[in-house]
Amino acid sequence: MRRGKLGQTEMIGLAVIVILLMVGLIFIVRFVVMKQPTSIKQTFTQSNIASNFLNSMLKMSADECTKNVDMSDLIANCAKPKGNPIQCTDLSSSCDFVNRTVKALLDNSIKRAEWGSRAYLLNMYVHDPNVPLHGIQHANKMHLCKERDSKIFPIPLNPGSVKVELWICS
Amino acid sequence: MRQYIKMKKAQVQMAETIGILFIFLILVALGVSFWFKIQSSSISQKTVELQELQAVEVVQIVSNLPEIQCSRLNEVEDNCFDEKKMIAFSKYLQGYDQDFDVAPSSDPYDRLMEYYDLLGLSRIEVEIIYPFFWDDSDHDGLSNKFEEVNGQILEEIDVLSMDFHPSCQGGSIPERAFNSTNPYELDLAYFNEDGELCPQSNLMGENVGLEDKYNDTNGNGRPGDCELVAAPDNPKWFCNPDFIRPEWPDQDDDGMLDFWEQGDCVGDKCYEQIYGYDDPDGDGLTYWDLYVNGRHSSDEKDDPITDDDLANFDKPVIIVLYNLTGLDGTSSAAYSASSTMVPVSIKDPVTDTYKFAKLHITTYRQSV
Repeated sequence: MRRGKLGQTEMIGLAVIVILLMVGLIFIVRFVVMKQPTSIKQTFTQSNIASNFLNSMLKMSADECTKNVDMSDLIANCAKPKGNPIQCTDLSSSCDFVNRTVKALLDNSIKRAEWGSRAYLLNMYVHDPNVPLHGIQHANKMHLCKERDSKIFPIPLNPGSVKVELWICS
Repeated sequence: MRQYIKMKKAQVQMAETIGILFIFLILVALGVSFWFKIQSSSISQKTVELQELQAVEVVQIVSNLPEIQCSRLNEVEDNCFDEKKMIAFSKYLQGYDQDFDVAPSSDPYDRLMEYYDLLGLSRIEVEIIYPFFWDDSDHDGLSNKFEEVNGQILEEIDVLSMDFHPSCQGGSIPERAFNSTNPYELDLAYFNEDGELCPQSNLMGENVGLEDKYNDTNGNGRPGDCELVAAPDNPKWFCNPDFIRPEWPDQDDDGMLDFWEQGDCVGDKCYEQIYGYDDPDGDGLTYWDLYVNGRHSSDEKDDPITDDDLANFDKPVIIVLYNLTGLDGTSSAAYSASSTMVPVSIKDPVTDTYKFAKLHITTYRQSV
């Protein structure tokens, strides 16, 4: 009778050890094996690409347009034409020029990179993000995007401002 | 008899101890092998992390390199390279002295080693994107020369529409898409999880995708071939590019060439390949000549671009700043590489104008 009880106690001890081992194993698997790799480069480039793209694009001189203007002047002119309208060599308006050039810049930089295409959404608007300025909005595969980062650059108008927003996805 | 029973008991206990030891050793062996596996995977992960860190470090160093940085009234401008300084720096690392017309006097390797501590094993180059390196008056990514040779002008309106898939099932992910008929109005496009554009997208019958002015003799914006077929006959495209160019080898009519669907190219991967296509036939055109024209030089079909034309195509302006991919003649193949791209501004200090460029950095690290 006593022997049987001893055996039962030993069994319980064994079961406790097995349970502890399993819990330990689950912890190892959860935190060591299944740990999501953190990509330093991805995080860095994602935010860097967005701000650098907007910064370089807005500063860029538009050689093909009549006056000595940069892209931020053209965007401001597109949102609120004042004085003589800016015209470009192919007789397009500032809005058309901005639309086409921004698209070409995105196509040749973010969209066509060594690692493949990167999802993005570039939007220009005055008040409502859902109403893009002259339909200037370019997107690439944003529906596949899980993590995204955005940068927004306001260009002052008088009154108000036009916002240029770029969402980049890893 | 008593002694015999005692001996038997001892033998049983011995066998029990040996059994326990055996199981214990198996458990230890399993634990050790598991531990080594985890360690090796974390080491390789650490290596990748280190390499990425190195790439980020080099990007930061290059962006703040005084040798090429641009300034205005003695104030450094962020994210900007001076074009003249950049060319001088590149020439210096190629072994040139002050006069670039005179042949290099120094060993480029010695010059590169001066920057080894800062830039390590890497290739750093700047590609100027705007002003466009070729004469592309309609900004469609095709040079005027190409369009002259082909006798066609192609205009990409919205690349999303090319994803349209007639057999697409599901489609619960809405995304705003352009309505090219009225650019101020936004439509909803529905995608399934494979990234295919589904039929319920409100884009049916619209002139989305490629507006092809090929053979548009009456100048109404519609190609001559398309005018032979009434639009309702083809619900997918207002003007089906496959109809315009029946030589396109696209048996399943998904807009993807059969050529691309061979091998691993399935669904979204195809688009990755096409958009990542970086001119393997060296004719100066990117994915356009494959996707839009459905051919490149090595295809059996006639390529309207002759070799003479290829020689005359403009090439993108690329300035290689630093190129050290191996030490003491070691080839870069012995190293693993990590690539990064960052948009930058290039300033022409004479005209005080800015260009749009991208900085490519590839760092190399000896494989473990």
